[in-house]
Amino acid sequence: MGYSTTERAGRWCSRALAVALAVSCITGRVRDAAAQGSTQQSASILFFPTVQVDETHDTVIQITNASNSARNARCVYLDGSLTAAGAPRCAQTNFDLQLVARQTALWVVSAGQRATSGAVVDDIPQPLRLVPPLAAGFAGALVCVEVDAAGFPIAGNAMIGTATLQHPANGNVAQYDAFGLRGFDTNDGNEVLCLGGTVTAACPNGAEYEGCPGRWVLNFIAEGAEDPLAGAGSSVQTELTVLPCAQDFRLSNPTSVTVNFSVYNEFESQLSASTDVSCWVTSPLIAISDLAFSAADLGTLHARAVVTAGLLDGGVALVAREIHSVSGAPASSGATVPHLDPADARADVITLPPVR
Amino acid sequence: MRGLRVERMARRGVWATVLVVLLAQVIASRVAPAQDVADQAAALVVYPYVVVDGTNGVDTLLQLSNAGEADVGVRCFYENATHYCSNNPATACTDDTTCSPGGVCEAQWTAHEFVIGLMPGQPQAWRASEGKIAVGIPAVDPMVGLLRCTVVDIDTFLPIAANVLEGTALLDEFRPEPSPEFDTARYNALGFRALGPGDGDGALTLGSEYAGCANVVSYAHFTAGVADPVAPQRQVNTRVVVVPCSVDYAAGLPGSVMVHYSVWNEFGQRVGSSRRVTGQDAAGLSDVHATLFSAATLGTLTAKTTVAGIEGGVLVLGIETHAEPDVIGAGSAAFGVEHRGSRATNDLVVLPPNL
Repeated sequence: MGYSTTERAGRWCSRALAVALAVSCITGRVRDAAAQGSTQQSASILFFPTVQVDETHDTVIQITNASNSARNARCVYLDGSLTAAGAPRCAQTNFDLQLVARQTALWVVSAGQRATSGAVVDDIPQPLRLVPPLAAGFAGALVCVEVDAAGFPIAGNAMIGTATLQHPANGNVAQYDAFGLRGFDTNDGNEVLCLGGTVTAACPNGAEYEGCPGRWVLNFIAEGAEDPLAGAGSSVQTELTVLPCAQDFRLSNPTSVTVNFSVYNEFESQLSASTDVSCWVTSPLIAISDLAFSAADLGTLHARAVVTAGLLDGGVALVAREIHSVSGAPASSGATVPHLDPADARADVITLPPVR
Repeated sequence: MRGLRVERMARRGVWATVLVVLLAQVIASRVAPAQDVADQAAALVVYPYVVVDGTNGVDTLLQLSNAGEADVGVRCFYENATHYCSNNPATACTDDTTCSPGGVCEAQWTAHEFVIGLMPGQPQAWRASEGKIAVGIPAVDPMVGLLRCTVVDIDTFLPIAANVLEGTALLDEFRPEPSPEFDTARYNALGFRALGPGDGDGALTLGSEYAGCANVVSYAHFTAGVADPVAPQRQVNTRVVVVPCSVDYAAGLPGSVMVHYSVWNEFGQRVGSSRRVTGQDAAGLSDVHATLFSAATLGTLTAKTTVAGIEGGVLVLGIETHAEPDVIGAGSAAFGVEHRGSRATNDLVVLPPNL
């Protein structure tokens, strides 16, 4: 059973490299598991969880190419409105986006945008862009994925965005930053986008993007409380939008998640609630539970809700919109992305329609 | 003998390779972005814009929560950068025209400390104009400034590396007459996460003990004064709040940084300008530079601006206002910015001795 020196050297090489690779994989996996997206860094996938077009809302979308070279994206509007039967439509409208270096694309969702090739402004050719307008009644989300010139996903990490919800008549505006996931160099360029997680049959390279958060924290004014400045006759309501990160844009199958709420008032008393989300939902907190979120039940003006996706569910993207009313009429609002828990990143898959 | 030497050399070479791989992993994890964040709990939080004007129905609602599972103390510092008239030091002003003839509207800077305790999971909230006297939070009015809070040990009041503070702010404006007018904007406080156990002293080093300030921050915005694309009767204007990352509360000195602005229009053409910021700068784009940010100069509806501090890092918050000229009532919204790169040098927040 003796080994030659060459064999022994070979075995040493194998063992040492195995150790190095194992440590490398473990540290890489820890990095992936801990990563969970951000609103402040340019990314490869952008989630705009709430986009609305109706009599009292329109939405302005801004997407900026943060890089010094031209970039492309495939974007999908997800219609979360309900059918007459009460089921989510979960229908999609998709389009391509081209951005020159450092360019911001801005459009009003109800109007869309059409920039034809060959248009010239100040001797500079306008980029080609065609964003379809959406009709009144749309309520849902926008998801944009960075792709190469041929339409295949890449980890370019060049996009950052904001959305502004506006009341066309009374001037009320609420703005939030898009939630972005950065891509890794493990991206295989196919239409199955692997967010977080480990190697699976659908994700042979493991995570291609950061994972979505499974746990968020929302600090809010208790439902129905008076605005602290306006006092009697005023009220504050918070509308929460939940968008599951896993999306099947190929077959338009709705993703379902259970969302649990642990609500703490200023004296640390705890109340809880839960709701099921299919495809997309935006709802006043009071409609999720009239016990856990109301000023009357919480007993304090402010509260803190820990929002957790079900243990077996994927991650979610959230936006909270706080609406201040006078005499029952909405007068002003502000929107934020809640705080996320960096220790809870989930595994999800987004499937894009094929490139044709 | 030669075979053994080959084996030894092979072992050394491979282990050297292993060390290089592991070292690279460690370095990669160290240089991973560790900058201030607006969407995670942190050990030091900064509310870049706190404004109170009681006579005009302007207030800021501040909320601070403990996301941890232990009682913590919090040392907070209001930095009041309200401007006052040189010929009437009791009169707050926004520009020279709001002072009596001959007066100049001058920036002031004062810092006021308060300390509170937070139980596990507890949210604490207060109106800046009223404070919360029962728990030791003072009232401030008038105020244009900011608030910084750092987590400390509940018993010793020395800084601890606990990433448990979540902050949010609501800029609230209400005028009851002639008809009720509301304008609100909400933002998350910017947080610096502790990166290690820290040394517990009063000098908080951003970039080593805590996450650092970004090397460059950037934001997309409407060019100054353009028509709102949804409601063209309104103009869109953007106010940019810039705060130096460093401050010395022990010596009573505000941070002071030369700030460079680079503005790109939609065709990638760039113009730039510089401006010194001491304590805080909360200015409309047209006040930062009279012509640089205008649609007439840039030729496009939107632009992208990057902001970089020269001698130190800066924090930036944007506030976009949609309003009809000469009509009371506006819609405002606060927005965050993109953070890029790490600074080569650290910033420092120096706390006064713990009394």
